[in-house]
Amino acid sequence: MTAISVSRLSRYFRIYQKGAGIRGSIASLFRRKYTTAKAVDDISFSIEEGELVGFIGQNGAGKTTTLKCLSGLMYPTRGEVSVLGYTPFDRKTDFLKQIGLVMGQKNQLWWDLPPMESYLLNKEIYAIPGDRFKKTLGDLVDLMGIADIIGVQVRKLSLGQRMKCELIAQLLHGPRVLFLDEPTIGLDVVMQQRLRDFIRDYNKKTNATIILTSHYMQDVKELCRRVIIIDHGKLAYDGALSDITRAYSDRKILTVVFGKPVEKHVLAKLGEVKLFELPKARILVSRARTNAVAQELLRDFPIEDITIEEPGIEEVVRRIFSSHHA
Amino acid sequence: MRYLKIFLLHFEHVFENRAQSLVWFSMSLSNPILQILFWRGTQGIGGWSYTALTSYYLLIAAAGAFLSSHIEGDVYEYDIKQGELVRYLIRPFPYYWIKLVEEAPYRILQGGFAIIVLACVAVWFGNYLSVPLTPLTLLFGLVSACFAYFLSFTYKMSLGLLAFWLKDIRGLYSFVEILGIVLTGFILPLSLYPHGLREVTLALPFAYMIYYPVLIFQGKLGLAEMLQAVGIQSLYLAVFVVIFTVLWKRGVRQFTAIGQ
Amino acid sequence: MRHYVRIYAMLLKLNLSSMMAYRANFINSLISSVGWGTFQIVWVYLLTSRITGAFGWKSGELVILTATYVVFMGIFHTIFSRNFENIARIIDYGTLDSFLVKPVDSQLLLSVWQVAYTNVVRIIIGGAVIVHSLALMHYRPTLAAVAGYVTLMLFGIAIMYSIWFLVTTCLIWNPRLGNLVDFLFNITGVSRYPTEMLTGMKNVFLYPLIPLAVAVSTPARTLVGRVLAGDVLGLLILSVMLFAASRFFWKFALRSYTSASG
Repeated sequence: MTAISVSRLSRYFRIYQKGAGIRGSIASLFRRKYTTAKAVDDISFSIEEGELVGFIGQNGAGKTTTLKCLSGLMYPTRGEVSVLGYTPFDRKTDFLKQIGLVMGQKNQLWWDLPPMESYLLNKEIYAIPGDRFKKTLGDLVDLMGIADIIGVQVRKLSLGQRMKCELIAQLLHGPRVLFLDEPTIGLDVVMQQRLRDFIRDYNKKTNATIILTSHYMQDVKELCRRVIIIDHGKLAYDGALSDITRAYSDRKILTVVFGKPVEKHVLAKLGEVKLFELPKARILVSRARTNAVAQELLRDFPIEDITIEEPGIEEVVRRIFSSHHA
Repeated sequence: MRYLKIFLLHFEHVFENRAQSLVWFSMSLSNPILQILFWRGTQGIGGWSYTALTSYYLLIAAAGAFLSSHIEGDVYEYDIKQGELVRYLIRPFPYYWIKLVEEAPYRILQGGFAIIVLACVAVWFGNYLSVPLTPLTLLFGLVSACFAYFLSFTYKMSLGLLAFWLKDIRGLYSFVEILGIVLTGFILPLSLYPHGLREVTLALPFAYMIYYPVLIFQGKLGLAEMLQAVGIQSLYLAVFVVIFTVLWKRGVRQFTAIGQ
Repeated sequence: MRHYVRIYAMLLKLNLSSMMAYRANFINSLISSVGWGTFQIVWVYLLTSRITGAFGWKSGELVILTATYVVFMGIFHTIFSRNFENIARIIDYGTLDSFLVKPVDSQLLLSVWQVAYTNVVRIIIGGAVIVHSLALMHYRPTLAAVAGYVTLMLFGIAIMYSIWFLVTTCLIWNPRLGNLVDFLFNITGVSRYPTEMLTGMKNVFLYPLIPLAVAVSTPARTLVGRVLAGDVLGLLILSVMLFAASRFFWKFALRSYTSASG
């Protein structure tokens, strides 16, 4: 069944601008300039129960705003949103009991107390029956491996431990829809991987609908079969991840700094030139040919520096967005 | 010139947060206004006419806005506890003067609000405000106001420096703040305090931070008394400067030796 | 209903544990509470040291009024104040989101999340002064008077709460005005004074302050046996109206909530 349905969602903000210096400050007393920022502009999509969907886009693209409209935190400027049959912004108790929201770095646990105390509070807040609470807590603690730290004051825990505990706090009531906003931000590589495994397992075990926002391609690659790309507030792509990865995971980016000026057309023979601002240039090359091209560059051209990397999300988004418009 | 630049930067910041400044100012007004309303119920006491009382409270509110320093929170919290002091130590200006220049925009803005309020009162509620200015009282008033500010500032700076040695000082600050309100004359003119308490408060340095300048502006002191007031102010100022210098030298040595 | 009681019981427990975990803070708060509580009493003693009364209240009654204020604020500070102080930071840092997403009324949760136990000493100090003053004036309030005193004080606290919440709700539009809460602390001081002080002036700017004064004056008057039915009715009506207004305004403000960072 459809868990989430969004129709023509828009969210606009008014931003007030001030000139620089003292003159600007005093001028703003008399006249204020406003611009309307369209954080989310006319987005529509629907998500079935049990799906694990990734929202991706650059910082400020509108992903988090969309998430907040879906979870009832923000009132849409325009459009309709329905989650589990409820209108999120009405914030009905039954609706809130079935959703969970995890926001990257934010602390919801009581700082001076062990996580267990916060869990007991959540138990009361979500009216979770005693035995269900015990079972869910037990499962989550095992899954996360934190049995030894739930009795330790939160302020004595490391960032990674804290994040695990925070996540559990949001899952104790067994939400049917889970919103994860940048869950891996600020974590080290090992923790990121652990968290991804956990999310995947949780989705499988409970069939919870999970929406994940991230600007790390890796999060999305590992977890989501379907992605929604939001660019400058607009829906740029909504479909299978495999389609994008097919377009992208077979390519690599070579960034070179030249010692002497080089002609663009000569470079274009080696691959797709994305950037040509001497002494720097960037070309897109198929994965298979990357080594060969790199060797050719080093052999035939005066190179000061060369870097080989995976295409970033900006590349993907730009590509998708422009091809969507073509 | 450089001091001017620091001042302007802070002024711009304060101006941007003028809504906040206005709120702070309204707070300093609330008690004097309530007191003025209260004394209506009695129409003056102990040799003070109602007008003299209302003028007193208005002036003390204005004096408070201009002359009471609040720098100790900055010194304690940001400079010492959070270590921002390091930034000041590497500059070629004495810490004392930089902090003075930093606080100046706040005092000026608050003082500006106060002047506006006094002007409005003078225009619309003339009978509440009576400030019999003569060249003499104006001169002594301004001089004692200057001394009063430096006294208040140095005192507060010294309080802030205690953070070098005391781990958690907020309880002390609360206590000091309360004591300050009682001893500087915000509740009642100090001369109206019960016998015994009156003599003590009039002798303490707190009375010289706001109370005596206000008395001078109200024309309640004769020439000899004004001279004496200013004289004692300078004495107390000298004492506090010494205290500050000692605390500073010892504190900085410990701060830089041990680090944070 | 039982649900909310259980939640609050848990909050009381967590706040107690939290307070005991942080001993330095506990001592500072205690000093603060004792200091300010005593200060208010000293203030009124100084003011009344040279007069026999004002606005129809005897000196001793004025002391009882201030002491009532101290008890009143003791209860208010214990249950609510720390939460009001936190609201600016909660909105500014986006922590409000985690409150809004919980299946409990957000206004309620925000209002009672933290408990400042040390303010209970204010209740003790105020209470002691009231008992002492009553004895000094040879007053013996009837049981009905005491019951009325307590009940009206609770309604008065509702008035104070509603006004504070109405003002704090404005922070949703400008979270930077954190010192609005300091302003409230400050303006609340008007409640130490008799209502007659404000109503006598017939000044339109003072009218908004009248509910604050009524909240404390009316219970105090009940205790010393001088209350009129009109006063009581006024208190009750104000209480209900202001509370309804605070709820309505909060729901309205949430529609404009833009939730820090995007």
